[in-house]
Amino acid sequence: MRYILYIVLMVILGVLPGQVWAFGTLSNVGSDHYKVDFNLTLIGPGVGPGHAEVWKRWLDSVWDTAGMANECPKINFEFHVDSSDAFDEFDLPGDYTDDTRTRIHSDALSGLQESFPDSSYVYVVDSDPGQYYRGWANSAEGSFGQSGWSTMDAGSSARTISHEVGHLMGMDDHYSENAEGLTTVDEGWEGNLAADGRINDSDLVNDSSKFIDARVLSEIIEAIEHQTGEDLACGKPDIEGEMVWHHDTGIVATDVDGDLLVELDYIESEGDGSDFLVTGSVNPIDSTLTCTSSICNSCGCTTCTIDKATTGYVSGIANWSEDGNTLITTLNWLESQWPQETVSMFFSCGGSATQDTALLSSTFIQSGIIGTSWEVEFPDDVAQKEFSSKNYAGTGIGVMNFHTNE
Amino acid sequence: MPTKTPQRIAAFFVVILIFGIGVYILSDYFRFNREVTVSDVIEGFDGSDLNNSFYQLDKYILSPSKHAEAAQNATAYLGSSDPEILFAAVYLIVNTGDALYAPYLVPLLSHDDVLLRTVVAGRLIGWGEMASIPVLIESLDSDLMLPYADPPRRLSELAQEALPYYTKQDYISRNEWQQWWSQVKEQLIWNASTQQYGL
Ligand SMILES: [Zn+2]
Repeated sequence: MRYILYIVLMVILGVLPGQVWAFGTLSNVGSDHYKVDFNLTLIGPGVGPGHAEVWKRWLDSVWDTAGMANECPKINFEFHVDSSDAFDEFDLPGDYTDDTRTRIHSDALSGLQESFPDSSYVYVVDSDPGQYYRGWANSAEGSFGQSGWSTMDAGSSARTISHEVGHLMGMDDHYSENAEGLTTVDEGWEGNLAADGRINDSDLVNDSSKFIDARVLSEIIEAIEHQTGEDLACGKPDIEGEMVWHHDTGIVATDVDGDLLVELDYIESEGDGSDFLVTGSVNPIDSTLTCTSSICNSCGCTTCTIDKATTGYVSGIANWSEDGNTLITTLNWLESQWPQETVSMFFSCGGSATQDTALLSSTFIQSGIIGTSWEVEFPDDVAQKEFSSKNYAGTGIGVMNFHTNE
Repeated sequence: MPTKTPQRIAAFFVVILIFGIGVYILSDYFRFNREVTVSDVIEGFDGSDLNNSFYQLDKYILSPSKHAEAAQNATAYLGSSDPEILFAAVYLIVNTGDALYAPYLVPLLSHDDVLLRTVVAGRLIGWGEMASIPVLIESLDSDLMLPYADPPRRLSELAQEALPYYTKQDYISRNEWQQWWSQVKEQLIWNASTQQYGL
């Protein structure tokens, strides 16, 4: 109830609840191979001149080694560490609970986000050697898509830094603690960065793969997937490029196994008649997708049923034979849970083409689109071709480009 | 007489909505604007709710302008027999105090709880209290872990950080440090300007 009221209040105040703050990017850089660029800003009185550089070196070494040692997918981690001597003073509000965490972060971090957007933050406490300060990080769910927040002391070890930043990326703790503060490593997690306090710092930096295993990486992958809507499971067709994620989801493309290939965002237009436009790449079949009736090609199996007056999206992807001459498109469809009717469109097999890329485009005028989805089949012997898509809504949000590898 | 029920229902819901929003704004205001005193923070420390307990302590630690107030008020709890309250008070002084607070912490160097006295010693060595050195040396071969640390950390890490830093000696084992201490303890002096112990 409180959350509903919060949303109502925020909407009334013109503030979007659950505002998303990007902190970096996830890129697909090859077959079952991703790259995470993680932005971190060090603030507070404990930040010294060499901190950003040293922390970056440690974090790159620890997380990149572990990510690349992972069987599948491989993940490159690169940390971009900035620092500032401002923001010494924090006025932390309220009690810290799962309920209030988001609000606390938005209150405490608002000034920071103006100065250092797209970053997670570490408040570095000024400390002397031997001084005990307990560091922490805000989330076991990961902070992909929002700013994570952590505090550590100036003398933090590579192990502490790697552990806390691991939390910011989605790693959980795997030890328990009794009320007196005595810790016990969970069974099976001995020697793991997520649990064990007896790991030697230099051993960790030299070869972190001994201390960060697939279980830890899968927690981080899960957090990335949760926050980005991406599916990092192995065995999908290659996709390269970079995606920009937004909070609201619109079109989702999956392969035949249900693995997500593409997610295209949009925001519903509030009935103002805004144009929604989705375009694919470039080729002459655009007219087929602005169809109002059945279409058949040489395969005889392409159909399109769409009522232009009441639906509002179109999408697609094209597969081409290796010689580039045959279109073996399987795509697509769309379905609108439109109040008046359900609209569907289905292309199942190809035709021929004279160029390498296909265009699927449509313009439609409608508002309140509810959901779209692609089903894309990728035959093994077909090179995946370029696809790009844009989605314009009333707010203009929703841009996505990617290229599939030949 | 014609009924106006739909309008009444609508009006009812509007009133409820406005009331709800009012309640939310007020509860939100009190929830996030309540002033928390040092006493609240220390007395409220609860080892079974670490996130919030340390968050409350951080309200003072992450706000250097409140450090003096925090350290000063925390001294009143150093005689507490409640281990959680005592820990919270010590932790707050360790992280907000300065060398002027050393006399308050020195008696705790002989506290029964080895975890507490080691945390105290880790702070006092940098405030020039030589009595902290044997306490830290004692912890060097301890298998215990620092209380509440995330990630878990060995208790001995404090000594391993602090002893070489403040003495410029690089012994490793407890025995070596012990031997060195027996030899120098009568002559060692603290130089506040260099933050070093020397002969
Ligand atoms: Zn942790």
